[in-house]
Amino acid sequence: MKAAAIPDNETERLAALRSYEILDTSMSDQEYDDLVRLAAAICGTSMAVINFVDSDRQWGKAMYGLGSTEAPREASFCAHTILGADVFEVPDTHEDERFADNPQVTEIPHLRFYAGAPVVDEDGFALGSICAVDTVPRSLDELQREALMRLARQVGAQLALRRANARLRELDKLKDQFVSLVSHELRTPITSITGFVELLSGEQLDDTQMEYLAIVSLNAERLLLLVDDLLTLAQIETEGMRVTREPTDLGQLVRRSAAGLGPLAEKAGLSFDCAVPDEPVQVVGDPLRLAQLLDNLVGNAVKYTKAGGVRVTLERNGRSATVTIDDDGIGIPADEQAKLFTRFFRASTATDAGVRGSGLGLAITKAIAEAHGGSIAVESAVGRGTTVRVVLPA
Amino acid sequence: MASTILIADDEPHILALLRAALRGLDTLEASDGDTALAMIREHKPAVVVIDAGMPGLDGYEVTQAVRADGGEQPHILMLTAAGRDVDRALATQAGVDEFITKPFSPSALRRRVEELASA
Repeated sequence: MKAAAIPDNETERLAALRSYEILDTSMSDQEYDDLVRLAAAICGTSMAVINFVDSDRQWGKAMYGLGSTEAPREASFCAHTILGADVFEVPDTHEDERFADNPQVTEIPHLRFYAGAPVVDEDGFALGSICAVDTVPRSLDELQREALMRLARQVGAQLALRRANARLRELDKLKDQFVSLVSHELRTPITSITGFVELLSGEQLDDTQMEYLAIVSLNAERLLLLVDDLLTLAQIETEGMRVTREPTDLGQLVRRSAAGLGPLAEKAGLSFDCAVPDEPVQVVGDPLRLAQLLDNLVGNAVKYTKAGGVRVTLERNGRSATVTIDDDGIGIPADEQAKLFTRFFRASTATDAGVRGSGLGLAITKAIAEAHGGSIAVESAVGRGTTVRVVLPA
Repeated sequence: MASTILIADDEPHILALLRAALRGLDTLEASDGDTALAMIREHKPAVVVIDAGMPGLDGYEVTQAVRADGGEQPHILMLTAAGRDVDRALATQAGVDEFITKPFSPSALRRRVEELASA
């Protein structure tokens, strides 16, 4: 038996192979399985394999008609294939002194025929091969050889996708960690600002000083809301929306939200009505998150209504509770309504009206509704108003 | 007799805010966990307001050590940057009584501390 030579760029080649993190991964990846089946079908062989050539072994990522996943590198046919740029073919192993006493020939799987095309990655490293093998002597015609080369290129393309996906996932995770860290670190300076503003408001100040202080306070609040939204969103992305499950009176939450935001509406010259049943409307959920959902929706209604009013109603129908927030606001164009719950999306009517916002509120609101097994729906007409309905299991 | 309150935070401006919020009350200050623990052991304050994250011993570890000492125990309020469930579970396990999420209202904190200190 004659083992294949070690490629000149072996160190770099192995580093490239490791960078794909494919060795010893699952052997049931559809993409690779499809390619080995195609190789066997096209070459007319009873078996086909995608092998990667590791430092001391070959490892099979996908196999057709064959059981073992590993062989020592000395006995690897594919170690020969990666040395060339074209299909490496052994028509009859018994007639080839390099392979006649190879354990893969003398023992299971009794290889008699081998044809492998090198799998080359985007940086030019030959990492392994896709090969069609059989227990009887064979030979490939020109078309089959060409097809095998094309399949090898597909394996290379799969590897490139695999690495690109892994990088994207890594970047996405880093981004979420970054947002979470930033949001977290921002709360400490905001605490100093809001805390001292509050203490200062208790001092003897003249009207101008009070006015300035109110502006600082308002902006600190805004900053805090943004930081909270970013933190919530980052948390949803990394670990999903997490909600506690405790018996909660939705009626009380609606009343509380209305009590907080109603005065704001009235100050803006809007009518504000809130209709809640006298008896409790019990749901199981996270009171803090549900309050956040209500504040977001009622707050939006007030924020985007210039004249007319806002109506909040809570109804219980059988095993569900419906909160309806109805306004006479600027409305949302029909073709934008589907995108409304996408993070950072803002309706053109909102930006045109010059109303500030991060575009995060509704994405969070929807996540909260869904985490409670509920749903949220919007009906809207530009210039006429918007109706948002949240249905929660009760 | 006025009860002593210990405030501990490594952020000088938050410590200043706590000091201002509790002005007029009998307070002790520490800007790291090791000092806080030593002061709690020496002065036996009725109320401790401690930051969760500090270099050296953090708020959790100080709480754990104080609870392990036994004897007369202070009421421990922990300042946390975000109301995350994980942090709370850890802190409750360590023996924290209450949480104050940043940003907090200094006047609300003062009311609560006065209530606890006079109890």
